[in-house]
Amino acid sequence: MPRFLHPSPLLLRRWRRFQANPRGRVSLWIFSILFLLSLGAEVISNDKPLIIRYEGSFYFPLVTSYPETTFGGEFITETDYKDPEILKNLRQGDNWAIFPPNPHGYATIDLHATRPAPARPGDGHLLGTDDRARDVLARLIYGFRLSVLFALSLTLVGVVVGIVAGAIQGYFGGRVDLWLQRFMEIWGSMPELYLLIIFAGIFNPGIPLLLILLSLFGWMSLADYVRAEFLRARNLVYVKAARAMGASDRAIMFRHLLPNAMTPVITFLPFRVSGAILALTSLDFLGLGVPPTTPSLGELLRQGKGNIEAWWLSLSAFVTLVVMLLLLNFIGEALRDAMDPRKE
Amino acid sequence: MNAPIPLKPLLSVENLWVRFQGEMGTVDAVQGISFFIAPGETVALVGESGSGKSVAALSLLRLLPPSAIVTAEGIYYRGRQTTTLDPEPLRKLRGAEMAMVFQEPMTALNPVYPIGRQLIEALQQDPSVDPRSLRHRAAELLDWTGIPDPESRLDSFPHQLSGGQRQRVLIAMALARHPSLLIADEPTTALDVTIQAQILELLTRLRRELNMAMLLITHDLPMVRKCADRVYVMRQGRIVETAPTQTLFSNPRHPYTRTLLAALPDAHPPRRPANAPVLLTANNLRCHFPIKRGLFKRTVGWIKAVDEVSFQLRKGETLGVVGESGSGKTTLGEAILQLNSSQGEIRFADLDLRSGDRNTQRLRRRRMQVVFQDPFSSLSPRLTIGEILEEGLLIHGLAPDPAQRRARVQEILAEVGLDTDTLDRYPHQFSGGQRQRIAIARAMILKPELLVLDEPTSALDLSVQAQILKLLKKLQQDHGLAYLFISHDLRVIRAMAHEVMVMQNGRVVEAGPTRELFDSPRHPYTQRLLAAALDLSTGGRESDPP
Repeated sequence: MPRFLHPSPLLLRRWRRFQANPRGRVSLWIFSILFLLSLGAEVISNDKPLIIRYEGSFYFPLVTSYPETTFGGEFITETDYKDPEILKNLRQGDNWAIFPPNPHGYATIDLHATRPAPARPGDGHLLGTDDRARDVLARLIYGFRLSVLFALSLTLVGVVVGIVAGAIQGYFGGRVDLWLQRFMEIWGSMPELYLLIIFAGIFNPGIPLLLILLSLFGWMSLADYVRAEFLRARNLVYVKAARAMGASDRAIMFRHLLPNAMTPVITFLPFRVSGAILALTSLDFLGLGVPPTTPSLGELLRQGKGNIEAWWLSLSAFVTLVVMLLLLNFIGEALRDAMDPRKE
Repeated sequence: MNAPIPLKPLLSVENLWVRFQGEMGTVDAVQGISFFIAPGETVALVGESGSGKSVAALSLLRLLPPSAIVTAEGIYYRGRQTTTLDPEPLRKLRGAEMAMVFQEPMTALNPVYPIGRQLIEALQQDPSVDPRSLRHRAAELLDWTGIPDPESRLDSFPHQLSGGQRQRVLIAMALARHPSLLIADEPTTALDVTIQAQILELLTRLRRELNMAMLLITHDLPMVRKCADRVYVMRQGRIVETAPTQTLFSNPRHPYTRTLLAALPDAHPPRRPANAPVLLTANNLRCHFPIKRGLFKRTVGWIKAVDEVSFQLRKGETLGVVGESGSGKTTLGEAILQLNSSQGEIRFADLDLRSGDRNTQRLRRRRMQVVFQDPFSSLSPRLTIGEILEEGLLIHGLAPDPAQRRARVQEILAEVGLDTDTLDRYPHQFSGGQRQRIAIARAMILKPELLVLDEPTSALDLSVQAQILKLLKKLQQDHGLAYLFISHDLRVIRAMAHEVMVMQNGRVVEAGPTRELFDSPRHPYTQRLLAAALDLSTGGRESDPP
């Protein structure tokens, strides 16, 4: 039987303790729902219809791109479904089209806006438009998804590298530990921000570059905790027993030691995610992050700073960030309490 | 000589209940026990771990954690009800009237203060002591408990004292205010056997000099026989039998008491096979650890944990390794298992154990396995029993097919006497004895030729210890196993070993066939060790009943 079908009683007890914390439990629910919804952002917020019924056949613009000529237009480029001409064709006779709840994409510029950008909420834009006449709500939804996905990948990379580095230091100890510790001290004293500025100047800044650069430094805080756990546990009797049995170093590290070193890793997870979100937002705010077409909360905040009278820009980005970080911190808090060894 | 129930007992406890409330439900640790102690009397509360004896003692001074709920019809001290006392008068009772000595001398002293200061603190609780004479009084106390050079010892820190000396300091602290009742909770369990005898002698002497009553909490029956006047036997929170010591030992009435008494190991090892081939040879084995000092970690000396040890172990035979803590017996076991770095020759069957690369050495480990002392820490807490047992099979590719593996695991569980439906459970769901069986199964599943048993029964209760020893004997006979049996417990060694090796400070001081060595020890250290241990085990009281 696979392991996850009968989780250890310890895990169950911790899960029950987590569940017993209402704030953490509700936060986890809300965050998971928001994240799952944002994964389907294309269905929620898009400038393309979900389904089109046109002259007896069905079209799915989200899946396939259709040239304008399909719907009686003149160009063979992809259809602009916001074009009044096309819209008229789509709605006459038996034809119909279903648009998503928020009929704007994150990069669509509203060419038919009646008011100058940035435009206050109303007029088909629930949260108004930014200074390039793009829908703020759409940018928020996509920005949220990007932030969370970025943060999760950054955390994943950091956790994997941190665990491996910490495990090696803690398990082998001695000289290996000494040299890796010195390396980490030197590495950790490098000015991260300046490196980012320099690299942003050399390369085209984008998500992959940011992920690599932030990962280079993000693993270190975790490595220390894992190292400490391994150092403590490597002389325990069951590790000796495994060695006497002939288990290899790798088997001992990952089968016997790692499960017992996971407490700090799991406890820090939500805080690492929120830290990563904040890091991406700050870099975007400074203009060192993603290119301007990418939907990002930091970029929206920067626009808010540039257009101080357009309160809906800064306010919506601010509220999104606060809610997101607050949820993560509540989850983290509940998780930390649930993993507290004093409660075992 | 039945002790008459005194008209005025020093302490009497009526219908004491202690209940622990936790996340996992409630546990009744003590279930309605009643007992009394007369002035000047030594009463023993005997039981195995989990019987509630320590909890009962701690509840007398209300030293239990807040999760414990104590109810009693009455705890009378000199006829005065103490259950309703306020914290302040209760505090005055502690130390002045009832004092306590704990089991663990390593942790019962504060490591950052010199012992003199801690003794003076105990003395200061008594307002009648002249503050100028405090230091002098503290030195007197140390002298009294038999610590040499007491004046200068006052400035020592706990880590500078040996375990026995620390226990003496704790006793000195407990006696600082001449209490009428001393509660001693396993006062010698953590100590070496020769030290145990000394501490016991000290307690008996002091008790007589002060005419103090003593409540002795212990699992050690020979010790009870030696010092107690009356005994209460506890089991699962209840008192099952009470009698004067002589009567209890000569004529135990309750079946549980009888099993306890019968559990003292006095059997003999199984007959050794004739002309068995030599399995393990150690020649001039040394384990030296460098002492490094200073900025550049220069080696300034060596700790010779194992020094020039040579022996032979034949197939199907048991070699007992005896010694007190720090004698190097565990290091010797680890050196044989190649778990630390050692010099000298080790031959197993006809192989030089040091030959071959890392991987060959690793795979060779199948042929000798180990069982450690503490069954609570020797099993990975996050793996199920099934996973723990099949790991060895996986490592050595002994049963590639999962069904085959499972069958083998079940077979070995049955062999060590455990239910086969325990596979999906985790170690903490088992008792100490069961866990030790699992640890033995983990070693046996690889079909080794040699088992290194490092104090395999020391952490277990007496009755469980007897079962484990029986199991080990059966396995030895069924499989022709050779045992390297490391223990500080001479009774166990006598019951198990064919040959004995006595170690002191890393060296073998005496070796020979078990019976010969026990009957006529030649080396003075062996004589001392045997005298201390066997004096305890044969019993016979020295002190006069009050």
